[in-house]
Amino acid sequence: MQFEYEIEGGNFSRAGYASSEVKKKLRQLNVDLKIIKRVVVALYEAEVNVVAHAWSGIMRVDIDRGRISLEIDDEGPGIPDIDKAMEEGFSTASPEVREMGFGAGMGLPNIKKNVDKLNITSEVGKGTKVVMVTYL
Amino acid sequence: MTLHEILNTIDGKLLTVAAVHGCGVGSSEDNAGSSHSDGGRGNGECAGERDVANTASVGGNPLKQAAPNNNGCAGSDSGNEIAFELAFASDLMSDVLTLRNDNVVLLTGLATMQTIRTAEMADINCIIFVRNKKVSQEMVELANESGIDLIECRYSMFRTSGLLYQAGLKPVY
Ligand SMILES: Nc1ncnc2c1ncn2[C@@H]1O[C@H](COP(=O)(O)OP(=O)(O)OP(=O)(O)O)[C@@H](O)[C@H]1O
Ligand SMILES: [Mg+2]
Repeated sequence: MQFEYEIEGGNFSRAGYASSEVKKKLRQLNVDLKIIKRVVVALYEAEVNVVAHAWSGIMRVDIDRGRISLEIDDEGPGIPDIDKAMEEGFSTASPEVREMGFGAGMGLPNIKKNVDKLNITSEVGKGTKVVMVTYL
Repeated sequence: MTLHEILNTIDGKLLTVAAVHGCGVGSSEDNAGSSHSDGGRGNGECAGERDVANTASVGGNPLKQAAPNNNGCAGSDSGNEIAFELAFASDLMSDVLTLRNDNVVLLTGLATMQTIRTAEMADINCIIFVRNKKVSQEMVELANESGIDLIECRYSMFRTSGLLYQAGLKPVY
């Protein structure tokens, strides 16, 4: 089963809409509640990162019997040093983002804790692709 | 603690339907609603989501149609309310998203749509807005759709935390 959602950079009032839709789908599919929580927290962190740091993005969700695969592909400034970005506490978030309660540099490390596989690729000036896989 | 006990402890004002945890849902119909106004938006969709989410506690009875009253939880002594055991106080949603526990009450001074979204993702079912922060109608609607109870409280974060701690809510860490 596959779904796609658009994510708008900078639009904080809408941030989380796509993750919320995915959560509803996973519930309809009777996925274990503990797994749903971990998956949607990771997905939401990645969605908020697009809203906070990039210009626009696409969320692709692919669910089958064995796994949930989530891909967030954005157009944006990219991440120059991914290892650095993965460190807890590293953040380049704007004051505006911090006012929304984000920008603590905890999102990427938290994604890593919540999914089985995380792969980030990025090109500076072009965009970032975050792929997360969780086995069922 | 039940929602009703939390409200009494902090002299809080309940803004949502109190569908999932509050007020004896499943036994006493007359307590199921509170000051809910349905902006006419996505009613069917909400009911659907609730059914999926809460089939067990709700028994397929769409709570959106429960007769509203304005008493909040006052007077409800139902033993059927789900008990909250843990609380976490933070204005930082990044922190909230790292919690692994269930059934956590969130105390925050950040009243934005993202607070509700964060709670939705983290399976938090009750948010207390301290320091007299005002909750928007948009936030109430989203919370009702997600079965999250919103409480406004005029006390500071410190005072609210102290009262709830004294009354038996446990810290996450
Ligand atoms: N999609 C993205 N596009 C560009 N830069 C990104 C993206 N995602 C993350 N980054 C960069 O990596 C840093 C760390 O991201 P992370 O999610 O860990 O923290 P944060 O978003 O700054 O704060 P938090 O997630 O705690 O709210 C960001 O500050 C930003 O510099
Ligand atoms: Mg982030």
